[in-house]
Amino acid sequence: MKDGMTKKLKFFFQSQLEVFKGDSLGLIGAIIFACFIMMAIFAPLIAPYGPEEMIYQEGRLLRLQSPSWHHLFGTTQMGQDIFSQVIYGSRAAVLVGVLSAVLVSIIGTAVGLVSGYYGGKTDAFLMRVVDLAYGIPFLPFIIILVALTGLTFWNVVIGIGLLLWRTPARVIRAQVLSLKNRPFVEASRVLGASNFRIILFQIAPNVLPLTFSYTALAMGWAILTEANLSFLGYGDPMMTSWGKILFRVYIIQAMTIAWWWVLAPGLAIILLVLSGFFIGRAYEKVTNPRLREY
Amino acid sequence: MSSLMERMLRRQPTGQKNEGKSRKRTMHVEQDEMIEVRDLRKYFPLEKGFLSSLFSRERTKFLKAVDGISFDIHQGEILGLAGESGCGKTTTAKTLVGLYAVTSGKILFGGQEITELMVRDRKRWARTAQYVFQNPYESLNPRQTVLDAVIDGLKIHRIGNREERIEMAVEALSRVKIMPPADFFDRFPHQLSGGQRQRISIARALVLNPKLVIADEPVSMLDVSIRAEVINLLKELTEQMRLAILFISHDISLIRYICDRTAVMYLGKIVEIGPTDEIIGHPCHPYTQLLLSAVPVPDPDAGRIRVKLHGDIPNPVDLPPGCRFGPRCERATDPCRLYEPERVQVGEDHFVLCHRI
Amino acid sequence: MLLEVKNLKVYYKTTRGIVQAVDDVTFSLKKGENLGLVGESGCGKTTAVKAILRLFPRNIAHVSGTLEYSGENILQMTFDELSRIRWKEISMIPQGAMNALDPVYTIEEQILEALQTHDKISYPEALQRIYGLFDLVGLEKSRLKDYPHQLSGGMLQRACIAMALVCSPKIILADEPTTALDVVVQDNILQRINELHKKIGASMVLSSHDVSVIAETCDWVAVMYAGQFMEYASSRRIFRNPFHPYTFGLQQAFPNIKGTKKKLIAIKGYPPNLINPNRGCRFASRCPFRKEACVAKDPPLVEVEPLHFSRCIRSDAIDEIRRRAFMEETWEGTEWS
Repeated sequence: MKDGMTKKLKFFFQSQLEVFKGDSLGLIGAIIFACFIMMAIFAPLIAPYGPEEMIYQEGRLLRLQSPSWHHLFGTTQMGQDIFSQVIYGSRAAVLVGVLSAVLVSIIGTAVGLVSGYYGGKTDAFLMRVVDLAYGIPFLPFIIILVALTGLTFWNVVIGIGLLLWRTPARVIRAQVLSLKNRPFVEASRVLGASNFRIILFQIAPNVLPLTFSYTALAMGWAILTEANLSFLGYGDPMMTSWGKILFRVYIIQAMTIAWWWVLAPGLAIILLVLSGFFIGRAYEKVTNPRLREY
Repeated sequence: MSSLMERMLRRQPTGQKNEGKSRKRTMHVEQDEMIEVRDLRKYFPLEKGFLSSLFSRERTKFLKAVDGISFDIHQGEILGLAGESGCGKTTTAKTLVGLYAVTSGKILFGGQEITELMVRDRKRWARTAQYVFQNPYESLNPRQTVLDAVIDGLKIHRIGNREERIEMAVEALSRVKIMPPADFFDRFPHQLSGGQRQRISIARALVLNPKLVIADEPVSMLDVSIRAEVINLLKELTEQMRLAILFISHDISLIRYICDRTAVMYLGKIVEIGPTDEIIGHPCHPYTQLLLSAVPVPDPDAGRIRVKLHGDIPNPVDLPPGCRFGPRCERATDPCRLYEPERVQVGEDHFVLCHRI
Repeated sequence: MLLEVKNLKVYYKTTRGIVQAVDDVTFSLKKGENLGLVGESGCGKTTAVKAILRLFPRNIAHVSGTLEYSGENILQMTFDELSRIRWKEISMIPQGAMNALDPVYTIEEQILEALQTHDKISYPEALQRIYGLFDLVGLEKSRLKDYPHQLSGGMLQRACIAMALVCSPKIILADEPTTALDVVVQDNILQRINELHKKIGASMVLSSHDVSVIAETCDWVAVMYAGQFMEYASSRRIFRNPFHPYTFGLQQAFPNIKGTKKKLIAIKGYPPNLINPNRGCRFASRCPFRKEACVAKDPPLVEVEPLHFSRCIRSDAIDEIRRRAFMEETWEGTEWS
């Protein structure tokens, strides 16, 4: 049994590499994402200063310095190095992004599988729940939730997970609907497999590329959401985040003066979110071969 | 044929709740266990829209896909089921394998009635009846290796441990001439040709040592030059393993080649059934005659005598009264338009459903 | 000579390399004659047929050779010239015709579109012409107002035939016209095709994997394999007196409805990879009659009898080949595909 498992794992990882080979944008996305993960993990080693560290030069606070070799993205009103802030901010972004994405895709895939496979009343009920989820405006919901339950990063993750599963659920359900009548699924039934077995071993593996696609996309959405929340002042006060950086420049209305202060976190958000979308697209191509180029 | 498979299957409990019954089944089997189908009907209700189901007084309409058919399949025999699309052959097949529940009628196996058991305990029936699908490109899970696909049945029924399962897979793959079997274990379907995929589907069906194998158009999606591989293989296997095969095809020439007996279906009824040579040589039912006359011949000079046909196939939901083939039949007379015909015997083991015999 | 094709090559690119789908195909078609392309999946017959209308896929890599219609080379025409030929002079019944019709427009709308794009003709006149064609193909006029999903497969195929005839073309291309149809419907369509051929006199190029369909409708037959013609002769000669081992193999692989039952043979092996195909005869790896010389050089198409061509260098040994071809053991071999 173990021998078979190692072979299967090896094959699994190889096939993930295959996904990116064909899609150059996907590869770029994967590389950018990997860079940000490195950034998040090794933040203390990479960042020249602490995130809240106020820097003095000749006894005076280095306020609002434009970018220079010492401070690649300049400094804030309080003399903090923006480059270091962005680096430390990647931790919040990556954590919220990845955790929310995983939560969203687990719930979404499970609902999609059950709803699509069993059909009937179960499907009807679950899809009405999805409709409900779509009816709730996302950002206001998260803001209210976080305001009520506390401004912690975990609450943000849960808030995102409570709503965003609605999209993968619908899409995966559609794919399950088309898969469940395919001959190989019928063959499994004829062999005597139980419904649970069929869902787990026949249908789920074929739905996996779509799951991965939505995990990556959900990561993009989650990071944007977190940035939005922090920008509006609802972020976790204990964590440095890109949205918070933007929040600070906004409340003192220094955007026109200190363009570097806006550029740095903005660029970081764009890059990481894009990487999520590119990876998501690469996986989507696997599911729909017609999207592939020759 | 005392293969490892056979020994395993006799010894191993099937993990069922009624141990008593399974013990009786494993007391198996040099006798001819026949499949008997008696007056099988499968109707599909047609769904009405929400509003019409509330307000309309019409009774639910049914699609009578299979409307009262009877036949036998003996072990060691290949029974052909011929007919065009929509005649009910696939529905019959799926009902026989337990994928659909019977609307009415009886199915017996080895003299015991199993009509309800087939669906209620489909897992157990899976040990007796298996299915080979038409589309070799869709009947294997693209994410399962060959080995996984073949031993899936063994895993489901908890037969054997890993080594024994591998041995059984080797045996099944050898039977379908996938050689050497071990080389193919880790391959995925997209790495195999159509003919190989189909043979692996057969191996998957055989690994549970079934008594009945239903082959639903097993070669229609394969290239012509390799069809013989699968066809000749099925014939061999029937002899070697004393299988009963229900061979479904719209290609009469193929049915002539491989089937011992043939049943011709039209709009849910068996219009003619008998030994294949009889049916091809002396077709009695006008539809059989039509079917045979429509087969193109690879001879540019052969003039074919075609049976004349009126009109198109009627709507299977709104069937006219009387014989189903009536509206299109040249020889139709008044009784044909009023009463459904009875089965008439026209030869030893040769029956026809027609008024005009 | 209505259509003259010389050394046609159509290659297209894929992620794995360049596929030589049609490789050096030559044939000609006279007015009133039918040509049948017989071959299995992947042999290039669909690509060859579509090339006649210059219908190439998006990933086309290379097209060479000449495709002359009444003296003009289609491959070198401007788009305007080509548009004048398409449908008016050469039309097509595509494979899976039931899917070739747009599901959101009625049959009438679609045939009218085909007609009015190419002929300046008033609506009443157009309708008359369409009625005439529907009679010819055996469809009721009331069907014109229906949508494709309301017609059966056979009816859709007939509608597509009517659509192909609507501008009275000189050549009709039919790509697997009866695949996916039931045998009775298929027979019906084949009858119609033959009747039409007599009445209208258009030439046809038909492709099919079913040897019998080609036998019943075509005057000339080309047996295609791996992008090339393996044998090319009149239909009578190909069926009575074949020369190429692949033709023999194909014949033996079809079960017959009449006559003695012979054992069906399978040709062991599978078609070669058309990306950088090996040197030598493309059928050699599966041929029971191969010799060293067969894989040394690419075999040319030679005239083995008047107007009968075969791409086999062992044509001189035809008597022995024919004798052995009818024996089951010849095709047994040791490996399966």
